[in-house]
Amino acid sequence: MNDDELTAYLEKMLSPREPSRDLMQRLCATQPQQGRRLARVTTMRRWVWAAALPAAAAAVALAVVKWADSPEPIAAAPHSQEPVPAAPEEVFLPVELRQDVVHAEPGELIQLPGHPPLQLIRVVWRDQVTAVSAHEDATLELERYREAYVPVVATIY
Amino acid sequence: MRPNDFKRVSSLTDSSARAWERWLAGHVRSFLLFARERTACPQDAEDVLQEALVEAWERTPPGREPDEALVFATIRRRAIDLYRSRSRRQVREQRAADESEHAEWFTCTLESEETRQQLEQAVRSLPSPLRETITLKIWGGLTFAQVAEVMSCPLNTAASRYRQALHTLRVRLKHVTPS
Repeated sequence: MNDDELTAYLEKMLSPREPSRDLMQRLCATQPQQGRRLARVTTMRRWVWAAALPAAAAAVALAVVKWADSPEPIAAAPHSQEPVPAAPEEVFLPVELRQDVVHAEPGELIQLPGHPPLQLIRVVWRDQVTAVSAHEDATLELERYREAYVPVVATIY
Repeated sequence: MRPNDFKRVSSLTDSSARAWERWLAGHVRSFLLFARERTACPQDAEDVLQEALVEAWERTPPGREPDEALVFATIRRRAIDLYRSRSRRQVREQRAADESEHAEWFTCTLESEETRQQLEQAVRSLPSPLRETITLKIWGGLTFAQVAEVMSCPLNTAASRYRQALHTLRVRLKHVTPS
């Protein structure tokens, strides 16, 4: 009997035993949702990609900032045996906040069901924060710009 | 959500349930045989089988059936994971208990019960890698490439294990098989 004949013989003679009725009932009762894990994997992959790009950008930005802030290398730096004590960090507390609208421009019209037409207005603010040091011997001015789209009821003539 | 939407969702669920049952009916015997082959007792085989089938089904896009090689690989991985969590002594005791229960793996289609016992005994007494290979190839219906994928071994190894298993069976079944 050669390999093919023996294979055919085994296949013909032995058939895997049927599962018990209990097992079949148990399996049928599980009712798994097809594609559920697939969606989870895809979502996870998307999140990984979504997180990876900003992380890479942040790493590059940090590297650039560090490189720009780093002092010029000193040709012959003195070898000091004693460690230089680190300067204590100053703590600043915000004492004043000013928010000024510096720019506004009309944007798109949108229509929501059951509402009058709305127009989106692009508004740009300038936020100015004044902070003083914990000992009130230094003042720090911070400034940032932010923008938002504000819906307003459109005027209909 | 409108009432019509509810109706539609429930009809989709019914169709998915039917697909699951149809797939089970067509494949569960060979998957169960492999799970029995990989585990020490029938209860473990059933637990591993259930977990693996559910996992494979949930990993498959809707409207398609899971890849058979992937299901066998999932059963194999689940069985390995199960026994990693137990001590060797526990596994040995379970295997001994299983031997005493002598849960049957096969039914004999034509010949006598005595022939079935001899054939089954010959298959069961093969070393594990040879037994796995022959189970996947003959009763799982996989190609050598798929067997190699399931067992994480090179293609040539899968083929040589298969030939070795057949050779061993031929010697052991010398008096059973027709000449």
